[in-house]
Amino acid sequence: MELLVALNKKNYRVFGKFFDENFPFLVMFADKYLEDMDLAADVAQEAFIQLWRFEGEFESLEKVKGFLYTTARHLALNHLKHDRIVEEYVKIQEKETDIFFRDQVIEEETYQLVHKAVNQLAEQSRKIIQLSLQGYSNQEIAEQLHISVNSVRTLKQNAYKKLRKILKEHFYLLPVVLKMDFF
Amino acid sequence: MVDIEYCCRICELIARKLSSGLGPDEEQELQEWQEESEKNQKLFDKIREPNYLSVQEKKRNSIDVRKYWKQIDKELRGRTNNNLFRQYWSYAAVVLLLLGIGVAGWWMKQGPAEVLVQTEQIQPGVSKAFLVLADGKTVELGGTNYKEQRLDFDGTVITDDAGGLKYEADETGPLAVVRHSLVIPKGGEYIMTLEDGTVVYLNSESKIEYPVQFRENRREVCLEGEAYFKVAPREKQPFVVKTEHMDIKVLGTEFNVKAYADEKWVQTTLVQGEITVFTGSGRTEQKQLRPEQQAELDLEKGKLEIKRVDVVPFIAWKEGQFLFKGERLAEIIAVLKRWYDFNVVYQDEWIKNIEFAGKINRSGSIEPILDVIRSTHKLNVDVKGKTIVFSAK
Repeated sequence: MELLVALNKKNYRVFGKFFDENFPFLVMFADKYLEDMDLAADVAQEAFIQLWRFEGEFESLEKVKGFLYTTARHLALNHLKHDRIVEEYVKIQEKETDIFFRDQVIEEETYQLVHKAVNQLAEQSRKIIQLSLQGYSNQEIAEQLHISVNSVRTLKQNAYKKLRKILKEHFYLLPVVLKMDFF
Repeated sequence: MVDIEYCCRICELIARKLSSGLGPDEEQELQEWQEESEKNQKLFDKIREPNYLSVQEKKRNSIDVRKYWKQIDKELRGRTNNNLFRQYWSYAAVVLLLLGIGVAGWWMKQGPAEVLVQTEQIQPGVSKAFLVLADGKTVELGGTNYKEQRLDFDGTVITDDAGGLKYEADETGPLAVVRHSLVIPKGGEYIMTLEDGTVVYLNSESKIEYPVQFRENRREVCLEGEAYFKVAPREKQPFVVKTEHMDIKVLGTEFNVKAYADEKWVQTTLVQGEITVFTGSGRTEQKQLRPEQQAELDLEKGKLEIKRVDVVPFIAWKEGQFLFKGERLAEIIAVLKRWYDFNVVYQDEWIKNIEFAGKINRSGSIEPILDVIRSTHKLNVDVKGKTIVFSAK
């Protein structure tokens, strides 16, 4: 796969693109642990830096993501345990579990899938779905995009059909990330 | 272990349900997954909840990817020592030490002025001790009037400098056994090297009594309080630490002894080497310890228990840190009291039971710790001179 080869060869431009696509999801993931967006962004950033500096080759894209998630988890937990002075102990214990890790990865990967698929739609359809995901009603969307509510409904339906197709093909992107033995 | 393919399948199903909907078979499949466990159901509900979803989306959209890319770009290509991640990673500890602020300091939103006003009288401890000679005379060591000295008492040369108090070995000295004591007050700590090369780190409120030269067939010292020992190996002369309720016999090794008079237990934690602990009135009960084991004597029950422990929290003090792994406030305060030298009042008994975990530099102010306790929103923490009062909100 071209992306994987380019990443392994440390192609900086491709790395930049990969960062653009994956950074927000890694931040959201880290935020589950840290409950602080700024900190989470720093953790995610550090994970990408470590990715760039990693001196091995990844066998698959899933392993690349696995590296990012596992690194972010490690950094976030370190932070929680050592740098934040005093938290109620039980909260940290829960976040250290594999189940917690798995659940956060499932959540972020699911969202990412949806995002990727949505980005493949035509512009108008994409905007409609994005607004819909943000909680806006058909009426509100129609107003924002200056089209009729009927148009919104039709476009939405077509978009859904398309998304179904897209997501069916893309499910392989789902990580083997969930395999925690990366490290 | 997590079944990867199954998880993949679940992600796909949820993703499609979110965006485009599922066919009846798929609905069924997803339903089954949800019913498998409460956690699955919870996760599914969470991801699906429309408010939650939109909140997540908004949060995600608020991330300024460009800004972070710029930072990474600078870091990766500029090779600048651009400590972006300063306070969060391991190098942070060094930086913080240099700045003299406890790790806690970074998280506190209070300005420095407020910190001073409240805890002027409660200051972190320093390196200080009193040396008591054979005739009872006292010599002050360390503290604010610290100066390097070379002492010549009772026929032995002792140096006191940045590395602590050090006794020189002297084979030609007097045969009679001369004993000295080192007393560490509240708010103090000290390092000492005995004539055989054994290094002893002493914590606040401790006292150790020892011979100036080890002439007998055992190297014997008496301890009250807490000390970390790095015993120099001497095959023919075992090292023995005597405390009021427990004796520890050593050949050459590193361990921590905690035997405070005001506590109901005695703890000896072995880091490296081998030791034997002796308890009971005739010191007849003995148990051998291996590294990373701890002997705890419960004075009320008279029971000696040996258990495996993570040694780090028990020796953190000698590294200049407090490390608590899920302990009651009462226990944490008992430790802090000795170092910061203050009094405490608990207005309700249950306050003593709230548990905390964390790590902090000993050289830092106590204020950040108090702030965190306040931030649990359950307690008022009032500082009045040298007394701290905990009360319910």
